Amino acid sequence: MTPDRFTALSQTYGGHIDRWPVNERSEAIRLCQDRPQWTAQVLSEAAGLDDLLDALGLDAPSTDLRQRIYARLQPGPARLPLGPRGWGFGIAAASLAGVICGAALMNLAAPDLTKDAVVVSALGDQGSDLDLSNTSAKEPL
Amino acid sequence: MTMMVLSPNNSGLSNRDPANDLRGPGWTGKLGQAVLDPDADMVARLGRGDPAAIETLMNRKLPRLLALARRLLGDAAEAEDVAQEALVRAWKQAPSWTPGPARFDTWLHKVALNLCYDRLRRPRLVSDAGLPETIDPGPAPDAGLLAQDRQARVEAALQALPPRQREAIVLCYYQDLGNQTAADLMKVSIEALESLLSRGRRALRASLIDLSGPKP
Repeated sequence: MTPDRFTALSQTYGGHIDRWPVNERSEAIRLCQDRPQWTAQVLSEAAGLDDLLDALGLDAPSTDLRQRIYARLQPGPARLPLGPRGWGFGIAAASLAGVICGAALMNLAAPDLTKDAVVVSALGDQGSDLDLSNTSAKEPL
Repeated sequence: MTMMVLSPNNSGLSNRDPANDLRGPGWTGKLGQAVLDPDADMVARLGRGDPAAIETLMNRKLPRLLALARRLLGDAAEAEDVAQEALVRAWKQAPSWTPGPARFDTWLHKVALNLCYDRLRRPRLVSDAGLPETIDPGPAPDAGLLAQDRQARVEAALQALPPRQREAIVLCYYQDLGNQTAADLMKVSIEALESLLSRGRRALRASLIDLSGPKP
C-alpha cells in the first residue's frame, strides 16, 4: 500500500484500521509495521475526528416507544403473508362484504318492492292481459 | 473470528467490540455472494410467531434503526416514527422472508432509509426539539455542560452536511456497515462512496476545528 492510499483511507474511514475495507487492512497493517511513527501520526489525526463523532451519543429507545411498537406487533389478519393465499383471503373477504352490502340495500329498497309485489299479486295472471283502454266497455253498468 | 485491530497509537486494540462487527466472519462486502446472516434464526422464529423473537428483534434492531433515523433526520420524533414503521414492516415480512444475497439487517436499513428519504423530501420545520439529551454526569457540572455543548456542535455539524455526505458517514461510521453494503444501499460505486465520505469528514473537521486536534 502506498502512503498516499494509507492517508486517503484514514481520511475516508477514520483512524481505526478495523473500520477500513477488509481487503485493504492487511496491507495497511504491514505499512504500520514498516513505518510505525508516520502511520501512527496519520491515524492519530484521523482519530481526532472519530472521537468527536463518537461524542454524539444517543438516548436509548424510550419505554414509551417500545410499548407503542409492541402494541403493533401483535398477530392478526394484517400479518397474513402476501401471495396467492393472501389474495384468496382478500377475495373471499371482499365477496362476503359484497353479499352483506347487497342484503342491506335490499332491505332499504324493500318497501317499494313490496308495494309492487302487492299490485302484481292482486292482478294475478290477468295482469298481463288486462287492457285498460277497454275496461269501461267490459264492465256492466 | 480473528480480527486484528490496530489503534492509532499502535497500542493494540481499539474500543470497538468485534462481536458487534456486523460484517461478520467471512464477510467480503460483496452482495451476491454467500453471506452468513446472524439474524436468520431470529427472522425464522419471527415468521413462526415466536413472541421471544419479537423481544430479540426489538433489542437487536430498534437502537440501530433509531440511531440511523435520528442521525439522518436530526429529529427525535420523526426518528421514532421511522424506527417503528421499519420494525413493523420487518415483522410483517418475516413469515415470507427467504434468505438471499442480502442480509436481513441490510434489508431493514433499506426500508428505514426509504422512510427517511420520504421524510427528507417533505417540507420540514427545523426546531431544537430534536437535539440529543444528555445526562448530567454528576459532580462536575462544567464538564457536563462542555460535553453537552460538544455533542450539540457535532450534531449541528452533521446536520449541516449535504444529505448524501451525511448518509455516507452515518451508514459507514455510525451504522458500521461495510463499504460495499453502504454503496449498494446508496446506489453508488465504492469510489463515489469514498468520495462522499472523505468530503464529509473534511467538512466536519472544518466545522469542528476548534474542538478537534491530534490526540496526544
